[in-house]
Amino acid sequence: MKARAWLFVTPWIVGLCVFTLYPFAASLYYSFTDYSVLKPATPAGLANYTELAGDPIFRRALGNTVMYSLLALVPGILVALGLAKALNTKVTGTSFYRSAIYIPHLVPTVASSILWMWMLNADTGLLNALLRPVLDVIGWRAPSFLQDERFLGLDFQNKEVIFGALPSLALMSLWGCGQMAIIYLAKLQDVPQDLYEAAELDGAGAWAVFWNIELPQLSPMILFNIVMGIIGTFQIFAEPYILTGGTGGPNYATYLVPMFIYQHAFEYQRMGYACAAAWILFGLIALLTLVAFRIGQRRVYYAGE
Amino acid sequence: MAGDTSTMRAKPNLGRQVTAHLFLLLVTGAFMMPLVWMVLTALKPVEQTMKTPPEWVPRVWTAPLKGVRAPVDRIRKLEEPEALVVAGLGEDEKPGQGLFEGRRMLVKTADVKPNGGAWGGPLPPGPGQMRWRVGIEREPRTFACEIVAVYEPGSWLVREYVPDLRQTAKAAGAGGAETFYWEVVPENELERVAKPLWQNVPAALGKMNFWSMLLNTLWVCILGMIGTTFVSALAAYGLAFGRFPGRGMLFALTLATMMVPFPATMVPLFQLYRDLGWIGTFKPLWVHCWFGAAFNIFLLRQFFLGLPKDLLDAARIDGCSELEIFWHVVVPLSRPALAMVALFHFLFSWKDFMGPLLYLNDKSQFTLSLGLHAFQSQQGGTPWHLVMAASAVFSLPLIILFLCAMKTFIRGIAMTGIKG
Repeated sequence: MKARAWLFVTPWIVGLCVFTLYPFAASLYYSFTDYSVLKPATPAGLANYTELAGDPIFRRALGNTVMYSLLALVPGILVALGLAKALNTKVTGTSFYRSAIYIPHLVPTVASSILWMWMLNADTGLLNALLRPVLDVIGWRAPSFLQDERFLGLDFQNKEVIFGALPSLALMSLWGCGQMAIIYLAKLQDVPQDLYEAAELDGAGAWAVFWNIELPQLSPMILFNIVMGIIGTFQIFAEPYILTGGTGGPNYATYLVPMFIYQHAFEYQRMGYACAAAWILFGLIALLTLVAFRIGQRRVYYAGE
Repeated sequence: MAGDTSTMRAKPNLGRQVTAHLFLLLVTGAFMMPLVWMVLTALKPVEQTMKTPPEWVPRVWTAPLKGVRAPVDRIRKLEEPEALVVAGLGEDEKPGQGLFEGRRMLVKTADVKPNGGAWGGPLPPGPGQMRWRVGIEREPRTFACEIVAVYEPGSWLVREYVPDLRQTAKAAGAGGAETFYWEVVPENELERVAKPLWQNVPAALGKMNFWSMLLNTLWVCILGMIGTTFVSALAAYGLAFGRFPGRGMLFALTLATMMVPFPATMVPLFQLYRDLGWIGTFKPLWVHCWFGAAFNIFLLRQFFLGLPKDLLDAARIDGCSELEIFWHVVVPLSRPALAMVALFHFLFSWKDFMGPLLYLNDKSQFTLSLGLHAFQSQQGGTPWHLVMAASAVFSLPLIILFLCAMKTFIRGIAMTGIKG
């Protein structure tokens, strides 16, 4: 198994180089050039990066991306934990519930985006049809979701619920959190029985059991989900693209960095600029992943290590 | 592992069970609601999709057409008596070239008279004449006609239900004239009944060119699936059991590349594919799979490391080559993991939108993701019933796949949670 092992990994090494490392390095190079499809790249130093730093649209996109990531991940993990906990009470019909919460994750992005685009329609959408009777009672106006560039809040002066486009996008992603719930459930089922018995002897309540036993056991998984979640949410492209007809509107409210990169690369033909934005995105992902792992090292409990 | 229920703890507690059930019912209800809404919308007539407040159950107006009760669209309510006539020739028209020749028309009774009768008089069935203003002409022309029936005000003009009114072929073939079968029925014959309109589904699929897109999608999915499963397994085997310099580094690099967002490689990759002449072909969507994928390699390596080492050693002592061990020992033992990698790639590829968006230009090559998006954006979002029907059919294979291979899925999802 000396020389042979190389043969096993050769295709992967080639793939790694051609389809990941080369384009990754090349985009770093392009980020320091002025480059459109028509002309060869000419070195431009840090020009792209300084321009990005002053580009209000890029800053908006970056802020949106971070905000979206938070809005999608935090409620997602909380709901998934709640679902896993409920599923773990040995209720009858677990497999039915499990399938039901996982199936939305299977709906292809285009189909789910179109479905939500319609459900979130301010006038004829299902969500407002359900909300309106409730809000009518107190005389408040229903949110206009994707048409609203504002964020979240309650406008007491105008008696209006503000639920803007970006939170709407996050709401849609919450629909797919069943996958996480199933991972947590599997981990909960692996929690050693003796821990529960010990807790029972100590007279620990349900909350104490969750906080002191189950959460620590789940923590490696939660960390893993946070890291993969950051990586995933920072790359979200299809959902806002489809929901807003490729505009990221209204008024850039759902304009995320991947769409910025896509538009500059393939619509405005500013490849160098797009690559610089992509590298900033990567830098942010790497930084946040590192931070998550750092925090994780202190907070996460690894059994038997 | 998952599915092992022997480790269940916590004394069965009725109160907690009820709370859990209520919570789960509420959440599952919320999770299923959009899907139920999608399917029900797909089976509605278009006018019902626009209703506020929305209605859940598909309901359609029905009326007796050609003696059979059938779904109809209500066009308008007659406000004055109108006569159903079969038009004949106009004053200066030659047979075969008549403007309305042989066409069923609805004409105000004031503009019809029986032969030998007067305008606006009683209209017994039989030959007669009618007046009709053609186009922007000031004066109506007179045409011969055959009076069939007279309808009272309050009757309804109804048209046979067609899922898609913009069926261009049909409309063009009839010269924009009588394209769909219609009739006038008394109001009390109309009945609104709960009825799923299954005909919406084939109409939507035909309109978006579903079947050829399905073939495109399957081609990309299956080629990529075979490639990534096989090559990732090879690489995982090498990384799990191989002894070669740089193995640790290669594994670390493999893990690290999972952090690289697609946008960071997108531009040079696009250029690479363009230089290879692959833009506008399926190759950018599947060729790279034949060189493995980081996440799959990671998962499979973890799985391989958990295999009983004695078996591998025994095979090695028996003189098996590494390739034989891989193929005859590791692969059969790792079927669940391999199935999971294959399934998840299929899922990913079926759902992928950005890849096809970047690399495919021609409509004949669209995958379902791209095709559905094009369908929705071209329609301007108006025929929601058709868009939802197409969406439902697009999602269905994955749901069926899940229900059939639930074990592999659930185990796989749990396995992706291997300690990082």
